[in-house]
Amino acid sequence: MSTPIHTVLDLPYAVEMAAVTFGALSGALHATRKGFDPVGVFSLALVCAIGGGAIRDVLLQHGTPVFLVSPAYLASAAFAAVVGLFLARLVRAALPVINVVDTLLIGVWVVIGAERALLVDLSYTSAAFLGVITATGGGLLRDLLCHDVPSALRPGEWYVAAAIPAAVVFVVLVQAGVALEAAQLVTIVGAAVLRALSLRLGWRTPTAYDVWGDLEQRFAASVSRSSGS
Amino acid sequence: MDSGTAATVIAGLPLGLPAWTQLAAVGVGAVSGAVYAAKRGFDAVGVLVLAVAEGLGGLLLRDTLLQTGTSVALLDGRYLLVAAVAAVVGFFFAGLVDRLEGVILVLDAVALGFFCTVGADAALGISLSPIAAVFIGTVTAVGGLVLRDLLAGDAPRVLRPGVFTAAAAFFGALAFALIETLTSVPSGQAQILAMVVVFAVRLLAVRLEWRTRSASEISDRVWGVWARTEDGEP
Repeated sequence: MSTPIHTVLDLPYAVEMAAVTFGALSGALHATRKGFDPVGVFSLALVCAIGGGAIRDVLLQHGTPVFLVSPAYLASAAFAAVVGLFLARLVRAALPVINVVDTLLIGVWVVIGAERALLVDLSYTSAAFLGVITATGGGLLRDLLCHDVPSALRPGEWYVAAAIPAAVVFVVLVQAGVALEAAQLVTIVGAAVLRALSLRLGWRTPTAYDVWGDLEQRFAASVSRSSGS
Repeated sequence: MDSGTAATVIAGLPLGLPAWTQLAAVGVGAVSGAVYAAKRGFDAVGVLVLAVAEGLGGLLLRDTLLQTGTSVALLDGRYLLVAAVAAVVGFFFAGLVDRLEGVILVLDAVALGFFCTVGADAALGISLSPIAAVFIGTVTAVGGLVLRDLLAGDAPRVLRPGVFTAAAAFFGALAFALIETLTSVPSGQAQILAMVVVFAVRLLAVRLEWRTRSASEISDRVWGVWARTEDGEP
């Protein structure tokens, strides 16, 4: 049996539980909005709360996933699902708060995921990857179960796009020997600011840029202009 | 036969339940998957794939989540064989099964009952908490169904309002985990009791035409009660 990893994790346990609870709340809200029944509310709440961590732990292959080993994860997620089920109106009224917390949580998940990868001596690149997976895997699974194209893959709000630079910054800072607390703070605030800025300024994640087609068009335009004159 | 001993030793999952209940779950689930594919007009490959997906999906998901080494479904060759035989049965007899009213219903209930109990049993076997056991039991039962629906390009039906599939599996796993942790009833009898619970929920839901309510309706009702007491207070 490997030692439960969260005992050596630097980010406070309470922060992780809060992240799980708020993830579950937003999952429950998503299910209510889709007109799902209680089973759907519970499923999406659990998937949003622990999906990213579950994918990460399965990929890490380092013993039974944390959310199964310590019952607090499933208990907080189930509690949030019950709240989301019976008090959906209240949760909807608190949507601005949930959105702010959600924005702060991107960096929290990135830090949790990357640290867990570093604890089992994975490379910094893999740590960044698993940080992003932890932050975004839940939403991906949620969209798959809802039979939607994952919103992470389509142009739109910056969520994954905020998590990726945050993860890179975190591992670079850790590698540079910056104090862990400082690296955590920069990552969490950085990801939140990036997402908040994108929402405020209306940035959309860019779609693929067709360099060759663009050149062709410019060339054709210049040819027709020169032949016309 | 050393394949039987190999399964129980290498798998690393100290199961309280006999291995044949897992095999039975795979067989029943695979037949259900094959019939589903046949009714959707898939070809022979589709029938085989969906049979394997629904038959083995739950066990693969369970063993992947539990992280106790390679899944039983791969270590013991009998699991894939059973799924393949079930696919052949489903390929030729889907029309018959479809015509026998209620057979699919009973088959699905049996599969749910087997899967949720072997899932919870495996989680308890590596001394996880009862709440984790209920989770794993439910996931084992619905994992194959979700995988089948995703492969067939359908929206996973477990999440949609209407059917008491996941709820039945949840109560079955809950009953099994409670009996196992609170009493000293042998796991075989606990499994029978849990399967009775699954059957009761599943068949009563169909017989009495229970409909699950959409979640927003429930919260509106709670809100309404609360608003009324607020009005009555002053």
